[in-house]
Amino acid sequence: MATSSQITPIIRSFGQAEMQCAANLCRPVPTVASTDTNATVRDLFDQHRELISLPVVDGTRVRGLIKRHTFQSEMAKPFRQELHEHKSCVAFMDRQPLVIEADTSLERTAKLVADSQTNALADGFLVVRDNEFLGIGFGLDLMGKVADLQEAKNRQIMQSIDYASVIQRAMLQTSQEVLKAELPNSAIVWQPRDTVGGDFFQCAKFDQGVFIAMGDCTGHGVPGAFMTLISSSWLAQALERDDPANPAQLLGTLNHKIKQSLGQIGSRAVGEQSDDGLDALFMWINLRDRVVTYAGARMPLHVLSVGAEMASTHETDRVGVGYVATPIDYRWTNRTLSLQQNDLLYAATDGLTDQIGGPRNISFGKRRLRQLLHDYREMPAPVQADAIVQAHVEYQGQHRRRDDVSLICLRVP
Amino acid sequence: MNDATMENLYLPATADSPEVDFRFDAHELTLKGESYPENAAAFYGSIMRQLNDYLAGCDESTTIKVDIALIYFNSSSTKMLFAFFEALNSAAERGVHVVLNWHYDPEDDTIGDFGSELRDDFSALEFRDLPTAS
Repeated sequence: MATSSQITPIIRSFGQAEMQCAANLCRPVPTVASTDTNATVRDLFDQHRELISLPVVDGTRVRGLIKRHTFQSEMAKPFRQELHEHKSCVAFMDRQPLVIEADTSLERTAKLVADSQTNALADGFLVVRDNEFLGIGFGLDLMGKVADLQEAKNRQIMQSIDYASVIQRAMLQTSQEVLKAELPNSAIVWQPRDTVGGDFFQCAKFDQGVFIAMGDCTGHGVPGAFMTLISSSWLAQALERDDPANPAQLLGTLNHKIKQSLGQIGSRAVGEQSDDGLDALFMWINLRDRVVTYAGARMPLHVLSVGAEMASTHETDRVGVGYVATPIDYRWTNRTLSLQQNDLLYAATDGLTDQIGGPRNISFGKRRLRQLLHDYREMPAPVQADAIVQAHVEYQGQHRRRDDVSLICLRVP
Repeated sequence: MNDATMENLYLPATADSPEVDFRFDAHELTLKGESYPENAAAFYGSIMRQLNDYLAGCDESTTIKVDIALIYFNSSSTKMLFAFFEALNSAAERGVHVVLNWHYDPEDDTIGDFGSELRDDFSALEFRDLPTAS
């Protein structure tokens, strides 16, 4: 009978997920010694139906692993039962099972199991501490724990990004309040693709009018958000010195500052050099005279005048702010439009117009945007913005969001 | 001519990168799908190196057929695409005959407009506007 079999205790030391190691995978299973017979092994497999493998341990030394399926198929052959029943159980034992040190990390364990030649994922592996048998680990438990570990790491990163989002939103909040105060019939949509994003807007009030900027920095997610902080800080600083009524000059200053601070002027090794920057539209709205002066870097201004049938799209300079290819002294162009009361102005990042969707799997497009502006022109700006967002979501359908999406719309008071 | 020894380049499309099918031996270069990899510079870096090696071996006797059928590319990919067309344009300025077939859905104003920009910016290329419904 199974006199020498024993139950290995479960090791219950559930510390932090990242501290877990192979020892945490040990399951309590019966063991046999090499002096035990195949009859004992057969009885143990019969008694413990869930038992996949049976470790062979002499004292504390691991000898091998008897696998249920191998053992049973061997014993099922003619005369094997009679021949081997009273012989040592080492006959059908795998002499070189996967053996893992107790303090091996879970990731390392998973790698060893996956690489093992012995099908350790299905049959289990032996865990030892200083050559002393500790227990047996199974593939399913390992997968469960590795999944938990991934989830914990994921959660940690997401919590960090969620908090970064609080900071990014706080920065945008101030501008939103300025816009609402100066142009009550206005709306801002800011939808980062990945919790934080590379789009930003900035509004500042001056005696003669309001300065409004919309920016779309390289990338999205965390690198994009880094770029918005750099851009927004330099822009705030530039607004203290430069003339807010000269958006082209402000773009030039921002270009200079970004290229300088990210080292895009010197001759750093290719690959180490940052080639980042932003698309942008800067507007100065003189509220008393109802005039908008705008300058842009690859971002158009859409205008729907009171008397016009459809919105017109005013393209801007096709040169990005920052980026290695943009000259340090590049001068953007100011353009001026006279406005009437109730004219509508819109700025959107390309995430809005370039989103893939619809029945033909093509971009949302500027034409569709202009049509929406036309359809909702009588509505207050917040209603228009909601309608555009709604139409955009419906257009996107089951497709992945490709980029951050931002929109400013305002009605001239 | 080193095109006889150039290995062709094929990269299958992924969720965020296009199919790249550069048959240097046949002088046919194709980009197809969408492009918004997390690191566009890394994705296009080696492609550009191989393209430049290939172009260095082309002369007035070569006609290169370039087929582009992209439905989406983000801003960083746009920059890399400009570098791609710039390289082709330089080759064309040296006398290499480069035909750029710009394929897009006729309803897709975004891609259509981008094609017009390319035609203006890279005048040495023989640009063929091909709005074809799929």
